[in-house]
Amino acid sequence: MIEKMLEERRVQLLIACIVISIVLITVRGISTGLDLQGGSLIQIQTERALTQQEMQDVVDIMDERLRGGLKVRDVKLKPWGDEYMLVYIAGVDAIEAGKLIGKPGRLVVTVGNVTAFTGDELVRIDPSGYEARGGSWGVPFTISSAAAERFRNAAIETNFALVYMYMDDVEVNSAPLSPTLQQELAAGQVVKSLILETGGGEHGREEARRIEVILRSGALPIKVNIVGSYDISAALGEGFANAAILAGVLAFAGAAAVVYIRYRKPEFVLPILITGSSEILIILGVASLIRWDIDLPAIAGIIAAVGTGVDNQIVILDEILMEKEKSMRAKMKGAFFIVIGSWMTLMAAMVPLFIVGFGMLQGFAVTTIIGATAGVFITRPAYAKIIQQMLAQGSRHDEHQTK
Amino acid sequence: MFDLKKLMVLPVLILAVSLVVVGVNAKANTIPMGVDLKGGTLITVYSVPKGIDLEASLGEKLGYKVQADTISDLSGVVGYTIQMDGFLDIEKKEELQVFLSSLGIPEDKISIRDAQPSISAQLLKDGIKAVLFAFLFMAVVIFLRFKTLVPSFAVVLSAFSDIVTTVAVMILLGIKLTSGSLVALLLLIGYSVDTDILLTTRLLMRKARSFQDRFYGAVKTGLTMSATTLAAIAILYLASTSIVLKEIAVVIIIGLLIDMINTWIQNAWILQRYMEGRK
Repeated sequence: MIEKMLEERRVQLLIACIVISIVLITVRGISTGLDLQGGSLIQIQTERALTQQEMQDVVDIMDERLRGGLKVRDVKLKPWGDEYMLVYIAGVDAIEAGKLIGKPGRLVVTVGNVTAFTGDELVRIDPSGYEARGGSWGVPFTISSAAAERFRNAAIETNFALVYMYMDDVEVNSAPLSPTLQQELAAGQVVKSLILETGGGEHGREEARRIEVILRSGALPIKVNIVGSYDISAALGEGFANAAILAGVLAFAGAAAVVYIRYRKPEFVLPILITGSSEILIILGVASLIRWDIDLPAIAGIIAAVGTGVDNQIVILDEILMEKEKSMRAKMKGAFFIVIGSWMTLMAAMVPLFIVGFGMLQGFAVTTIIGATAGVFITRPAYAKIIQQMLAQGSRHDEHQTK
Repeated sequence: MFDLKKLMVLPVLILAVSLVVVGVNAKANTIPMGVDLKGGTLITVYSVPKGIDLEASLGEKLGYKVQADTISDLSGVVGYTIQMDGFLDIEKKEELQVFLSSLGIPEDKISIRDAQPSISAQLLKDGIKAVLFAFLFMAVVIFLRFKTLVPSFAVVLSAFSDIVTTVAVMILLGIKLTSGSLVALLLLIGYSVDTDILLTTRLLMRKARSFQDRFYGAVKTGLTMSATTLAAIAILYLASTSIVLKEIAVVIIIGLLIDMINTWIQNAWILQRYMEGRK
C-alpha cells in the first residue's frame, strides 16, 4: 500500500516539499520575532511625512546610535503610513532604546543668550571620559573654524557670560569660561576644543556615553516623538515560545482526538497528523526561505492554517464515506469545490491584513496564507490520494475476510 | 419533519439584540478596548508576588486608576496585567521598574506596552479598514463561487451575523477589543463561512437524496469541523501564557459557537425556502 502511495505524483510532490523545507530550515535556520527572543518595538511619530531619502537618513542615524550605544546587532525599521515608524530592536528594553532614538539629538551651544554653534558644526568627537580637574564626566569635541570664530565673537560680545550647552532644548551643562580661555579669546585666538560636561558619578558617566553616541550619529533630520512601545525580555520570550509550542502540540492532539471520537478509526487520524505536520514544516520552510521572523502571531497563524487543514481533510473524508454511489472522481470534485472555496475566502480575509500590516500582527496573515495555500495545492491533494489508497486497501481487506 | 422555521426566531433575535448592543456601545464610545487601540499603558507581570495588592499599590504609585486582571495557564495563575489610561514617559517608566523591583518582581518578568491615543486611533482605523475589506472580498468570492443570488446572500449574511454577534458578546462579557481580537475577527470572516460553503454545496449540488438526508450529512461533517477547531483553540487558550494568543483564541471560540446557530438554522432555513421556491 505504501509503495502504491509513493507512486502517486501528488504524494511525491508533498515529499519533495517536505524535504526541501527541512533542508531550508536546517541550512538557513528560522529567525524569531522579538516577542520570542526578547527585544523592543518602539513606535515613532515624525513631525511630518518623510521622503524616502529622509527615511533612509533616519534609519542610518538610529542604526548607528543603537549599534554604538547599546551594541545592538539587529535593528529593523518599518515605515507605517507616512508619519509613523516601527523600530524593532533585538535584545534591548524599550527604556534604554527610547533614550537613544526618541530624541532628535540636536546640540546647541550658547554664550549667555547668544547662539554660538550647533551640533552640525562638530568636526570631531572624542570618547567620553572623566575629567579629574572638574570632577565630572564629559565628552570632548572639536568644532570647525567658522564655529570657533562665532564662539569667540559671542564670548566677547557678552563679556564672557556663562556657556550653556543644550541637548534638544534641555540644558545639559552650564559653566563659566576659565580665566585662561578668556585671555586667549580676548587676545584674538580661537578655541576649537571644548568639553561637554555631564556631572559626576554613575549618572554622569552614562549620560556622557549617551551624548557621545548621539553626537557621533548626528541629529535626526526631523523631530520625532515616541508614541508607543512594547518590550519583552529574553526570559519572557523564551517562556512564551515554550508555552506556545506546547499549546500548539496539545491543540493539534486535541483536534486529532475529536477526529478519532467521530470516526473511531486510528487509520483516519494518522494521515491527518501526517499532513498537519507536513504543513507546519512547509510553512516554516517558506518562512526560512523568505526570512520571515516567526513570532507569536505567526505561531497563531500556523495553528489557524493547520486547523483549516484538518477541517478540509474532514470534508474530503466525509465526501468519500458519505457519497457512496458516486465515482471517486465525482467525490473529489465535490470535496475540492468546498476546499477551494474555503481557501479563497480565507485569502479574501487575510490579504487585507497582510496589506495593512496592522502593527505587529502581519505575521499572522503571512503564515496563514502560506499554510492554507500549501494546503490546497500540495498537502490536501496528497492527502486525498493517501486516504483513497487506504480505503481501497481496507475494502480489499474486508472482501478477503468475508470470503 | 423538522421545522427550521420555528427555530429561526433564535438567530433573528440574536442578530437584532447584537446590532443594538454594538450600535449603542459604538455610539456611546463604550466598547471596551485594549491600550493598543485606545491608548494607555499595559503592564504585564509574569510573577506572582505574595501578599501584595498590585492594583492598589500601583494605582497609588502611578496616580492613575488601574485595572488588574490575572493571566492563567494550565498550572493556574502565572501573572497579572495592569491596564491604565495614562502614557508614561521614559523617566516615569524607569521609576515604575524600580518600584516593581522593590516589590520583589524581577525586571525580566515585566513587559510594558504603551501607546499614545494618536497611534492607537490610526491602528483602530487600519483594523476597521482591514475588517471591511476582508468582508467585501469574502462576499465577492462567495458570489463568484456560487453564482446564484439567494444562496450567496445567505452565506454572506451568516458571516455578517457571526461578526456582529461576536463583537456584541465580547462587549457583554467585557472582553476588550485589541489588535489581537481584530485579527481573530478577520480570521473568523474567512473561517466561519467554511461551514456555510459546505452546507450550500451539499444542499444545492447534490440532487440525489432528500433535503433532510443532505442536511444531516452536512451537519455531521460541519459539526466535526467546528468541534476539532473548538477543541484545538480551547486548548490554545488554556495552555498559552501570551496575551495575544489568548486574545485571538477567545474570539474564535465565541465566533465558532455563534456560527453554529447562524449556519445550521439561519442559512439552512434560507436555503430550504429557496429550494422550495424553485420547485
